[in-house]
Amino acid sequence: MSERVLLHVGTPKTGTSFVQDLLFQHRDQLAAGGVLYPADRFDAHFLAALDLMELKWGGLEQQAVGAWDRLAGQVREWPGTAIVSHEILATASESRVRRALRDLGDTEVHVVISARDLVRQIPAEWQENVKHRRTISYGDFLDAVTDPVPSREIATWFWGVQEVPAILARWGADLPPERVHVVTVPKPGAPPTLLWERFAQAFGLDAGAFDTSVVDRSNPSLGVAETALVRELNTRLNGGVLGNEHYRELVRELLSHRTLSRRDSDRLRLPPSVRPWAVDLAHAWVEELTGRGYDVVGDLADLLPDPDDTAPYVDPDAVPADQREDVAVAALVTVLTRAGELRDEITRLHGDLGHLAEERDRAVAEMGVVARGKRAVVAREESSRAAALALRGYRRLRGH
Amino acid sequence: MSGPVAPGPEPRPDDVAAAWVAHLRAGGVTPWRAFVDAFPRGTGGGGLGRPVPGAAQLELLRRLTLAGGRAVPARYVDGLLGTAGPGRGPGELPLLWPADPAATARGRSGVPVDPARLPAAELLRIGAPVLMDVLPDTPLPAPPPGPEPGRRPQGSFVLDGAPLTVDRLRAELAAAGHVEHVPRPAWWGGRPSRPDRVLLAVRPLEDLLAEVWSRRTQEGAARRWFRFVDDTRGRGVLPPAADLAATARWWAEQVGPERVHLVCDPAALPTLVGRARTPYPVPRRYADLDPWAVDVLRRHNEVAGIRLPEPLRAPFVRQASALLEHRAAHRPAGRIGAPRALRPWVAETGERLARELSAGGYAVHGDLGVLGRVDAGRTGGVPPTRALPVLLDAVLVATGAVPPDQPSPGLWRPTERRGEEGR
Repeated sequence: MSERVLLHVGTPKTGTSFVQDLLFQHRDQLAAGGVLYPADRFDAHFLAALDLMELKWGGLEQQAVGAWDRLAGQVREWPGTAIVSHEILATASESRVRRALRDLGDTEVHVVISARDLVRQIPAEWQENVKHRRTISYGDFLDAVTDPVPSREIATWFWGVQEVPAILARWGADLPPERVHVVTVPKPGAPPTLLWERFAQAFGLDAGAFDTSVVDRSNPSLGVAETALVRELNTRLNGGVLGNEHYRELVRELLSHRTLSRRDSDRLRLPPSVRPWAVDLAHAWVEELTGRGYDVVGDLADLLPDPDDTAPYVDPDAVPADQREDVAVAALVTVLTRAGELRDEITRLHGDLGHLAEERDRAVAEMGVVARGKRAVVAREESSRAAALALRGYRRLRGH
Repeated sequence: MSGPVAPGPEPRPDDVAAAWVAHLRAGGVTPWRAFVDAFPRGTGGGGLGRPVPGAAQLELLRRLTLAGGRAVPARYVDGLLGTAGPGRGPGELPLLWPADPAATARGRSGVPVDPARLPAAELLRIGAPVLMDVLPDTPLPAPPPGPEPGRRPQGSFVLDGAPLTVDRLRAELAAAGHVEHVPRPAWWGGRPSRPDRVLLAVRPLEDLLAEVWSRRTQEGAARRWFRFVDDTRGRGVLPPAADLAATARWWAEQVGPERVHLVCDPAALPTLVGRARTPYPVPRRYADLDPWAVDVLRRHNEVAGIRLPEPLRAPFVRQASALLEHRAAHRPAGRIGAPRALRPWVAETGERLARELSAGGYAVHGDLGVLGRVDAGRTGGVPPTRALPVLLDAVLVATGAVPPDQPSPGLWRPTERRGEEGR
C-alpha cells in the first residue's frame, strides 16, 4: 500500500505536458528516491484518465481499456509516494472522483492543481480545440463559454476542466484543505524555471535534481493567423478526408507544433467585450479559493489578469487575406518538404523490395525440382483430395 | 381559541432531494418540480447521508418507471443511480431548487437543472452504459437451431449486393428450398465450380448505405448516421458493400458478365433461382433493425468500445442487437433517409452507379434508376427523442421489469406499434 499519492488533476494549458514529460524521463531516478511515477509510455496517465472517465479520444480510447485499473494497481502496491498526473482528470464528476480515490486504496491523498489566469486560459482552450479538429469559430466559442447556463458540449468541457473552485470542490470534497495544493502559473516575464520549481515544491521534490533540458515535448501555442489556418484546414479535412492518425502526425505535430508555433505573430486574446467579464470571474475565484485555506504554491494573485496588458485585440475570425496567404504558404512549404522526404523513403523501400525479390528468385531457382514439387503438393493440401491423400501417405512413410 | 397555525420553515433542498430519491426508488413517478411544490413545509430530515445522485440519473429512473408501469427491480437501482455518463457531457448535475436556483449551484460546471427538462440526448448518454450493464441478464428465447452439418444441397445461384436484403433473401429462399451455390474445388484440385447466375440485389443508394450502417453497427461500430454518410462522401469512395458497380465487375471477372443479373425488382427472383429442393434452414446473420434501434445500438457500442477490449465486445453487441430486434414489434417501424444536407450527393452518386452498371452489359431486372432515388419524406437522422423510448424499452426488458413478449405499457400507443399494424 502506498504511503502517499499526489494526484495532479489539471488544469490544461498550465505546463502540464512539460511536467509529465520531465517526470516520465526521470522515473528511474524518482523510483530510486522512493517516488513512483507509474508509466511505461509517456502518455500512460492520459490513457488511464481516458479509461477512468470513459472518454473517446480519436480512437486512442481503445488503447486505454483497463489502463486506470492497471495504474491504480501499481500505485496501491508501491510502498512510498506515487505521483499521478493528467489535466483531463479535472473534468471528473463526483462519482468518478469517488471511484478514483477508492481505487487508489487507503492512502494519504493529496490533490494538486495548477492554475493560470482565466483571461489567458479561454483563448488557449479554443486553440486547443482547433488543434483537435474542431471547426467552431472563436466568436461561437466565446458565446458558448460565456453562456450563464452552459449547454453546448464545448462549454461543458471547458468549465469541467477550467473552473478551478468547482474542480477542487469535487476532488477535495473529502480532504482536509492542507492536502489540496494550488500551483499558480507565474505571470508572463517570470523566470522560466519558476513554474517547475513550484511544481517540485508541491510534489515534495528537489527541483534542481532534474535535468529539464531532456524535455523536448511541450505544447506550444499558435498565433492568431496560424490558428485560423488550422481551423480552415479542419473544415476541409474533416468528414473522412484525413484519418485521425494522419491528422495527429501531419497537422498537429508537423504543422502546428513544429512549424506554425515558431512564427512570430499576434497572440490570441480575449476581445474587449468579453475581457471584463473574465476579469470579474477571476477575482471571484481568487476570493473563493482564498477562503478555502488550501496550500497555495506561488501566489493566488497570479490568477488575476494583468491590468497593464493593453495589447490590441486581433480577431481570428477575420484574419486579413495577406496574413492568411503568408501562413498558408509557410504551411505549404512544410508539407511539400515532408512529401519529398516521404517520396525518398518510398523509393528506398521499393529498392529494398527489389533486392528481396531478387534474393527470393535466386533461392527458388536453387531449390531443385523435387523441392518445388513438394511445395506444390503441400500448397494444395486443403483444396485437393488427391494432394491430401498423397501427403498423408508420404508422412506415414516418413514416420511423422 | 387558537389563531391560524404558522406555516413551518422552508424545507432544506437536501431533505427534499432525499425524499424524492426515496420516492423514485419505491416506484414513484412524480416529477421533481411537482414533488417540491407538494413537499410539506416544516418537514425536516437528515438529508441523504451521501451525495444526491445526478439529476439525469434520477430522471432516467423516473422515466423507466413511467414506461414500465412499475418500479424498476431494486437490485438494479443503485447501479443506475451511480452510473456516470461517458464522453464529454456534464457530470452529475444538481437538482434545481426552484425558490433559489443558486442554493444548489456548483459553479458553471454544475448548473442546477429541472430533471424533467433535460434533453433526451443527456438521458441517452446516461442510459447507454445502463443498458450495457443490465444486458447480460436479458431473458431472451434461444435462437432457432442452425442447419445440420453435412446435408447442404448445392444450388445454382449466388446472392450479393445490398447486405441486409441479401441476408434476408438468403434465409427466405433457403427456407423455400432455394439454396445458394457454394464453390467447391474439383477432386483433382482444379478450379472451383462456378454458379450459373450471380443475383445482385439492387436498392436505392440511401437504402444501401442504411443497410451498411446497420450491418456495421451490428458488428460493433459506433458511428452516427450523419457522420457515416458524410465521411463516405468525404472519402469519395463508397463502402465495398454499397459499391454495386465494383461488386458486379468483380463477379463479371469470375463468372463472365452474362451470368451477372441486377435484381432491382424482387418480383423477378422466382424465375432466377431455379427449381425448389428440400428446404434448408440458413440462419440470418443480421437483425432487421429500424433506425431508432440502430442508433441505440451504436450508443451502446460506443460505451462497449470504451469499456471493453475488442475481443470481449462481440457478445455484448450480439445480445444488444438480439434484444432490440426482439422488441421491434412493440415499437413504431421506420426507415431512415439520406441526411438532408447530403441528399444531392446521394442522388448524384446513385445515378453514377446506375450509369456504371448500365454500361457493364449485365442483365437488368427492373429499373436501375432506383439507385439514385431519394425519399424526401423520410427522416434524415435519428432524433434523440425517437431513440430514448427504444433504449428505455430495452432496459426494461433486460431488467425483467417488462416481459420480453409484452409491450412496455408507458411507451407508444398500440396503434403506433409495428406489431399492431393492420389489426
